[in-house]
Amino acid sequence: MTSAADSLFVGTNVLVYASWAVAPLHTHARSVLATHRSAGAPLAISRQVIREWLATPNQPRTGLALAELIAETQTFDAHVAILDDTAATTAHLLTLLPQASGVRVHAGTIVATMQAGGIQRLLTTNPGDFAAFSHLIRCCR
Amino acid sequence: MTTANPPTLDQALALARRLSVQDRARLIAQIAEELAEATLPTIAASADFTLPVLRDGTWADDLPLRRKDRYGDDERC
Repeated sequence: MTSAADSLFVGTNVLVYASWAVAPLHTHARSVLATHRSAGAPLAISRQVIREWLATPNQPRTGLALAELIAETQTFDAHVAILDDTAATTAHLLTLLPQASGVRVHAGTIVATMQAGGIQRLLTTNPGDFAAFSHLIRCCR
Repeated sequence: MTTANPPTLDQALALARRLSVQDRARLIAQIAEELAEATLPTIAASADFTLPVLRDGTWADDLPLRRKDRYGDDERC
């Protein structure tokens, strides 16, 4: 039986790569996620990840239609757990911020969301964003 | 404290209202954490990763892929 501690939080960049065929790390991202999934790890994202995911490819130069992005977003909840921003998230964030010298609010919110969900592992291509929180979570690549 | 007769919800709420604001926040956080742990494994635990793939569009190397690109160097935006 899996637990929240076995779960893997999927970072925005990994979700971008995994969901878009033209992304440079697309095949690798799909492979890593499939490996974790086959090992029984539940996958999770948050509302913040959804917002960042939408903002990343939603640029005129990508040529992606907004309708495609919306349709893709609407499939997320069938494939990954979506963690909400809750009072617990805010409570964790307010504890975390002083540990990060008061900066990195957005990376801190990811960590706070993970803590509120009892998740310890983060799949990201940007571990440097989370260096201030390395005593709380484990970054996987 | 005996657990033979668990309190009713109304009794628990009455007790919670006697806590300080800080302790109420801690109580909320603790309960939310336990609920999240209890419900998360039932979601997204199927064997395969079958998220649909966007096939259209053109990759751009200057997409905002790092948090500093999205929110500024110290994420103050």
